Amino acid sequence: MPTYYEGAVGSVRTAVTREEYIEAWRLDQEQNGRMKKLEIKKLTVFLLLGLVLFAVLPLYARFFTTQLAPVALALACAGLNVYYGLYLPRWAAGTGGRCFDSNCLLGQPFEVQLYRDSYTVKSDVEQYTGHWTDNTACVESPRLFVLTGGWDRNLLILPKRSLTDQQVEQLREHFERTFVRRYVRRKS
Amino acid sequence: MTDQKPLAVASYLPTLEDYQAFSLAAGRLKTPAGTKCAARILGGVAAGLGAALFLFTNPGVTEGVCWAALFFFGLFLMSYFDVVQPYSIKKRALVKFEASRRMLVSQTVELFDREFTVRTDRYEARLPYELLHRVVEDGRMYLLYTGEDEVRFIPKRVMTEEQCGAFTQALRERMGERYSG
Repeated sequence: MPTYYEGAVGSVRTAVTREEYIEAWRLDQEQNGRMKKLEIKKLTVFLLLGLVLFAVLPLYARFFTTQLAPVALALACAGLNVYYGLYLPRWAAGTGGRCFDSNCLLGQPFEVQLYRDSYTVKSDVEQYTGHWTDNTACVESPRLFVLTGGWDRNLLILPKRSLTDQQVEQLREHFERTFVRRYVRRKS
Repeated sequence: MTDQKPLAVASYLPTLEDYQAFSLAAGRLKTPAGTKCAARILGGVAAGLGAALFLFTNPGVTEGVCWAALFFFGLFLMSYFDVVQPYSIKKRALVKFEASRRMLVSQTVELFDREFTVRTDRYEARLPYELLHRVVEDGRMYLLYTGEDEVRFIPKRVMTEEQCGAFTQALRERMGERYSG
């Protein structure tokens, strides 16, 4: 049960815009989904491509007459470069936007009451409760607090524009303490 | 919530079988039919090409490995949406079910004339049908999509045939083109 007797840590009344949802969706993917550790993956396949082109290909030519295997490997690396560098960022923006457009509940104004171990969300049409242990992570960006992996709603998004500076500090402290290593602060 | 008499009611506690069936149905719906068809054709071509090159070109060691890999990749691609994907979805559903058991609580869904309600210990909603993205009737369940990636499922096993009929009719009439079954 939520620890109501301790009082709420904070309360926010807000509505999420399409741009904010897209950003939150990208942050979720970067934290838990396909885009996890994207920069490392991009760098790895880039280096691998260089290695194949400038080391494996010449070396292979010394010992074998055909170049089929290293060429196939180079093509695979090039494909992965395109996938991580071009396709995934576009996919994240497109899918996030589509999810928001298709779900009328995501743009509804809502009020969140935040407690030490849980939260309740109330809008005109729905009301739900979640515990922080349900969520996989808390990601803070310059514009948002995003709680990922909820059960009844995957993302709980708290735009900072709806919070005072003092509330931002208070929530940051609360989330840092609650999520510990699952709390991530991002620059973009 | 409301004093009206519901047109149809479903009240149930999801089981592992329900959750796996729901995951399979949702997974199937996520993949466009064109993608499945393309995977089968491409897989068939790749497997055929790999087999032909392996058998008829007298390949060396490297080529032999490549053509064999092409053959097996083709087989994998051909069977992906019929064998590999359902298997992996069921496995993931099992893991997720075990991890989320405490959140899969009993649920009651009631259909009214202009809206439907969903009630669990943690969630309560009164949603007009206009807010539903779409409804899909599968062989074993109803999938109520509130958005492209947000769905609630109702297993048919919790209803009699008559109740199922009432449920289908109520949803079909109110959802129109957004109902598919």
